[in-house]
Amino acid sequence: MGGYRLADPTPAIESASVVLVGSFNPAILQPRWLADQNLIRLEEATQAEDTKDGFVISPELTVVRLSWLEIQVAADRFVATTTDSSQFRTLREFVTGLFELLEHTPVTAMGLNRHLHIELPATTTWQAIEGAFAPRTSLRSVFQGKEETDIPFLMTLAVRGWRAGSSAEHLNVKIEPSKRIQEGLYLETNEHYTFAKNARASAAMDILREDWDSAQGYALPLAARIIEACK
Amino acid sequence: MNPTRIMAEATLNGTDREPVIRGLATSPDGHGGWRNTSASTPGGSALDDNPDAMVVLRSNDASRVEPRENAAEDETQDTVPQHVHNRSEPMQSSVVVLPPKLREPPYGFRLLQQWEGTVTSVTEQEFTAELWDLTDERNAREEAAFEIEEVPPGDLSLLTQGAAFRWSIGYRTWPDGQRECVSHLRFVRLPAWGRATVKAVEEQAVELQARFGLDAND
Repeated sequence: MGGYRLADPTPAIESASVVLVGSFNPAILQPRWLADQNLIRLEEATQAEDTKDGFVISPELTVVRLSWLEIQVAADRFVATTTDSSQFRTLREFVTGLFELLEHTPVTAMGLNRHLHIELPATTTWQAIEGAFAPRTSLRSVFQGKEETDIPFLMTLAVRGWRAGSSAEHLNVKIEPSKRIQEGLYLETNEHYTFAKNARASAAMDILREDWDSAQGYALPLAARIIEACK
Repeated sequence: MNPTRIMAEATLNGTDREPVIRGLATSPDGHGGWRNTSASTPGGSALDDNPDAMVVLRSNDASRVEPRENAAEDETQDTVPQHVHNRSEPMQSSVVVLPPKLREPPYGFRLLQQWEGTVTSVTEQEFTAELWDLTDERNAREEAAFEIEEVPPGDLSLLTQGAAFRWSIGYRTWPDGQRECVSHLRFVRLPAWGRATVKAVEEQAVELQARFGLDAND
C-alpha cells in the first residue's frame, strides 16, 4: 500500500474525489442518517443541517457539505470530494463505509480522481510545457487567424493512458494552465473503472480500498516529472 | 422567475463541434411531470427558454468530476490566464449553462506529516498509541501519548483500546490569509456491518469450526 509522498512541488490547491456511476437514491443521504450510521460525527451532521448551503435535498439531487467533505448525489451519479489533503484516506473510508451499508447499490463505473494546482518554478513556464507538447509554431501552420498577431496556443492537454500496477480500465490525465493561481499548472488524474451492468457496489469498494492510495500518490510525481522534463 | 427546472445532460463529444444537451425537464406546477428533452446548443435549446435551469454537465468520461476544478473565479466566461497569452481578453465559453460548482473550500490545508495510530491503552487523562508514519513509510514504528483533550468531542466515543486514528500536522490557511500550524486527530469510523459482511463472517466461522473440529458451543 503506497503512502503519501510529499515530493516537491507542493500543491497550492488540491482535492481528491470518488465518482460512482450507477443508480442511487439521493433522498437517503441526509447528514443525520450519515451520523446515525457512524460515518460522520454528529456535530458535523448538525452543522451541515444548520448551515446555509450545508444541506440541499430534493428527489433528484442531494448535496451535503461538511468542513472537509462535499457529497453530491443524483439518481445516476455519486460524487464525494475533499479539498483537505489530511482527509484523503478518511474520504476513502467514508465511501467504502457508506457502500458497505448500501451494498446492493448498482455501480457501473468508478473514477478515482485527483486535482492539483501547482505554482510553476521559474525554470518552467507554461510556454515551455506548451513547447514540449504542442509548439505554437506548429499550431500556427494549421490554425490561421485573421490577423498576424492571432497565434494559436494550447489550452488543455488531455492524455488517455494507463498507470503501471493499476487495475483501472484507463487513466485520463488533463493538464492546463491554472486559472486559480498565477503562473500555475493544473493537473487532473482520473483512473476510470467500469463494471458489468448488474454489478453491485461491493466490487467497486474492493478496488477503492486497494487502489486509492496508489491512485492518489501518482499525480504529484507525475506533475514533478512534467515540470522537470519541460525545463 | 421561470419555475421550470431542468436537469439535463450535456455530452461534449469530441467529434461534434457543438455540445449536445439531452435530459429531463419538469414543471413543478404539475403539468406534465418529467418529460424528455433533446436539443443542441447554441440555438433552439430548451435551456435558452429557462434562465433558471439547473444543469448537470457530463463528459464522456463519466467518472470525472465535472464541477470544474480549474474554473476561473468568474464562471460566466472562460478566460485565458495571463501567463499563457499576452492578451487577456475573455473567451466565449462553449458552455451555455454552468454546471453545479463545488463550494470553495473553507480553508486550505498543506499536510506536513501524517501518522496512522492504534490505541494501546487509555487512562482518564491520556491515551497511548502505536504510530506508523504515512508520510514516509521507511520511518520506524513509534509510540506516543496524547492527552484526552486532544480528541475531538465527536470522536470520544470511539476512543478505546484497539481504535484506529489518524494524526495530521500541517498548515491551515484561511480565506483572509491567516495561516496556522495545526495538529489534529481523527478517529476511523467503522460503520455498522452490512448483511453480506455478517454472512461472510458467519460462513468463515463455520468453516474454521469445521477445520478445527469444534462445534458452536466450544
